[in-house]
Amino acid sequence: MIDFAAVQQALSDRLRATAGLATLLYENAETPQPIPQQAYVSSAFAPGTVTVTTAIGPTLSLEATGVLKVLYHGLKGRGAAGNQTAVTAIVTQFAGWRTSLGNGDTLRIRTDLLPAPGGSYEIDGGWFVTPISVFWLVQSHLTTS
Amino acid sequence: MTSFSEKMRAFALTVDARSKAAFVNIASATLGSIRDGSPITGAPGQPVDTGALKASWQLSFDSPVSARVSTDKVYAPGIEDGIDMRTGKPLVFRSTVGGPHSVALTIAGFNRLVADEVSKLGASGA
Repeated sequence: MIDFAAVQQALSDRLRATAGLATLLYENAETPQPIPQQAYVSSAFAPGTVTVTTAIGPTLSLEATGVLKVLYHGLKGRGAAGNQTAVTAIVTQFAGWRTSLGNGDTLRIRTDLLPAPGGSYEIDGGWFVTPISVFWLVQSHLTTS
Repeated sequence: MTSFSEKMRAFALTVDARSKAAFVNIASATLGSIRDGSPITGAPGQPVDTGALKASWQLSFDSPVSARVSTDKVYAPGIEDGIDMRTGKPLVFRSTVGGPHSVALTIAGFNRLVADEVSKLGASGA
């Protein structure tokens, strides 16, 4: 079966390795509190559904899709353009990326739905949030007895 | 006896009717996935407190080939992204239904949504 924990870890590792990213990562935890006037990144892992793509004999090919929602909390006042460098770095980090997981499954970023920033919005606390949807796909095989 | 041209005309009408039915059904399914959730896309649908957000999602047809699913609630992006737009903290959802990322998961599962709606039309048409 598909190891969603491994998928989440691989995507998180990839995000953390983004060059030039803000130094503070705030991974959907209540603490530590975000530091005022410090840009930061949070992410949420949202698996979608799993489907059987082919069944040849006892071997099933499975495909799972989902989204890694990355939120870049840039500094308010700089606007979308002012935070564009980091947002572009995150998009570039994921575009076209693929990897093999420990169990042999293949994780790749979808090419029919490219990673892309959504509409930015301001929130209290001095941040300007830009959501980035990273659409991923996992291909796996399952042998039934 | 039906001529070849009449058969072709009937076929074209059938294809046109099926295309329109598929388009409308896919648009409706997209709204349903975002608003109510869907086992096909995995979208959880909108969380409910007062029900205002869920009721605000609308489907409109801009043209015969363009549909729009939208909401006018200013806090909708925060619900979608799972973030408290006042504090920046992750949202804690108390609703027993729905959750974040319904729009993104609907986009991710859109191909499956389309395949499902087309299969519902069947081989002989709507």
